Amino acid sequence: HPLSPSLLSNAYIPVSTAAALLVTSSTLFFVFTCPWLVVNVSAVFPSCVGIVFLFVMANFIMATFMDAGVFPRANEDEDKDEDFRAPLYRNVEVRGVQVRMKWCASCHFYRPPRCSHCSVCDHCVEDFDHHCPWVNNCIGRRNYRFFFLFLLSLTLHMGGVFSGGLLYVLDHPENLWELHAAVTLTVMSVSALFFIPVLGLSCFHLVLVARGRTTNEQVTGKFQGGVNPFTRGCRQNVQFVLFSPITPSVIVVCLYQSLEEVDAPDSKRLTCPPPLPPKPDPVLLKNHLAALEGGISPLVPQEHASEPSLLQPETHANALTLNSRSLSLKHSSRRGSQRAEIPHASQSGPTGSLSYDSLLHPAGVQPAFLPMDPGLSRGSVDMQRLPARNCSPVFMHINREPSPVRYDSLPKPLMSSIQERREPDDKDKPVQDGGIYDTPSRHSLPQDFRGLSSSRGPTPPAYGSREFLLSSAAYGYGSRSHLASSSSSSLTRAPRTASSPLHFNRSLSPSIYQSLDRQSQLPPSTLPAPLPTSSYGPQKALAYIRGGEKPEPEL
Amino acid sequence: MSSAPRTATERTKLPYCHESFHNLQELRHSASLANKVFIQRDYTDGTVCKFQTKFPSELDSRIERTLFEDTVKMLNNYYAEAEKIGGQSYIEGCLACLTVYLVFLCIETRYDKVLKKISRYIQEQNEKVYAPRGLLITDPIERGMRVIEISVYEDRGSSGSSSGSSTTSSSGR
Repeated sequence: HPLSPSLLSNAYIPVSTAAALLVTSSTLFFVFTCPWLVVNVSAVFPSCVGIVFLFVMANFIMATFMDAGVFPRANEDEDKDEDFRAPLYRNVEVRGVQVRMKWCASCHFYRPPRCSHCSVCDHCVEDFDHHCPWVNNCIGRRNYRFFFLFLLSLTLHMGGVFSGGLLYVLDHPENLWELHAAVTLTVMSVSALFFIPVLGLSCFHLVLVARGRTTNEQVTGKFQGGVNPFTRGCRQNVQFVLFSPITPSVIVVCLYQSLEEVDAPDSKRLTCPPPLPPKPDPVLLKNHLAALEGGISPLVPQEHASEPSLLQPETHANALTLNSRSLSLKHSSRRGSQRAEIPHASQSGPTGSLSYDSLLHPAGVQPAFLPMDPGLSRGSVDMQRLPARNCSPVFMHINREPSPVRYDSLPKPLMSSIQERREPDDKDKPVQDGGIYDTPSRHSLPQDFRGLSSSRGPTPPAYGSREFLLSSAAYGYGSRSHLASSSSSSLTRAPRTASSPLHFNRSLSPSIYQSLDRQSQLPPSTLPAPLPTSSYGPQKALAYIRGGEKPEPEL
Repeated sequence: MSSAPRTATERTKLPYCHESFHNLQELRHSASLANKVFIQRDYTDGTVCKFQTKFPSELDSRIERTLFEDTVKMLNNYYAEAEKIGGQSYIEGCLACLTVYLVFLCIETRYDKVLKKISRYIQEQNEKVYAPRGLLITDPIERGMRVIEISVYEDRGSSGSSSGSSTTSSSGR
């Protein structure tokens, strides 16, 4: 069962502990200490603590579940110009300062400035700060402010709880073994224990925000001697962190794109697209699926005469949709269960993919989409999988399901290039499956969907571009040789098929090993000596002392 | 990367327009993908979303330089407007804090609105400017906001032999 290993996975221990401690201690405080405080001190004080606690929880939830700004993997065609002899680094000038963009071997693009690859989550994150084990998420551009506010409000909250408890205990010195006093003492000691590390981390991040740096940059010593081109001055930096508009979650967009791509776009669609549902409620999705069953079946037999009933894979699609939605926000699909089989997908066999497709489509789209296009020819529109590779790896494993039936309508040269193209796909990234069924219970915050759905609403799979690209994708780009051996020149990239091994959970291990692991993936000649690791040693130790934060330095 | 066969100029009187590509539908049915051009991000102003306006050489024969630059500049303006830190973003930030971020469920942020505008703009540009020239712009958000992908199409019907040769040449790449 795919759920059980993930529940026991190491990655969830810190975040569960943190959440449990926070909620339990605060609840005990409110239940046992606050009544006395309300009566004997004032009603204002506990209500302030209550409000701050609400704020803490909100920020904690946002920091945990919000997509940090994950970059989807690049489409294959994107780096076709840059073969294996292209340089490992590309220089770019940012405000007069030369910044090096490194080629990401996993994601297949040159990392934008401040972007870094998180080895725990195995994706590149924009403005990467660090990977926080306490929220079990990367902290990056989109959720840094929530993390930062979480720290600040938590410090405040702990201070309030401690003071409230202190007031109580000082007033009841004689009966400390009585229940209320004992509980208060316990809560006080818990908050005292964690107060210093949390305060230290808050101060650290206050300094970072003021200086306009990320944890990654601070810890790797990037701007130690030089100038930070990304700072705009203290006031502007704070303003940027707290008040800049939240950028869209592109992973979610790719998700919707893949879901929509299954359905052939129609010119009608361009003029009157219905909006996507604002809240992907899981129950709602199941109802949609059930309702759309009738709509699907007339479509499906058009392309596939021997299509079995869609009932069996329905549950898969449900789980798929739920999980893909929740994962799209968090994108932590690879923890612990990398070696797990794709449970349902493998059972379905050749028809499984078709059922997935048919069900993927309605799952992501309003009912209004489906019934209006019974006459659409879906002839050769079945290459949606290939271009969808640029999207989250969540879909990469789904897309690798073979669907030989669909190739009938395609001409022979296309078919052969498809076959050639597919083989390296199968070898590529074998370890990114499995996590798809990881966290079905994590009904993600729909707020990202809301933002995205409204932006996607009026522009559905537009202009026929996608359908088009899909059908012709193999045409221009078939059968690239992925298995090029690594060049002998010193600064070249690793071959494309260097799939990242060993993504076992390393959230509790020193980050230095992670960077060394990552280096070991590339041929030894391609990397310079691990210089930055020595310079950030003491800073890393400092970071540990400050509360066990684990920066993810990208070298 | 092979240059596209210059069947356009051979076929039509107009230097940049393919007669057969009157609209997107025709593009879809009669053309095939020949090449993709990627417009990279311009990081000279930091990590703000901005794309290079440098005209790629692959589009030299396909579209006028000014049209292309106008499109990219317009997109850059849109993104700058979306990411502007000013009155509205302050209001949204404060409101978000006050409502414990529940406001994100209810309202559409300014960024979302601008993204819709961008999608509409790209769609309009594709219909009016790019599809008649056998090009298609993909919304950057579908590529992670890292590149603007411009797909270059060749007319399948009139370039039968050349498309055959480009198949073999691309499969040999």
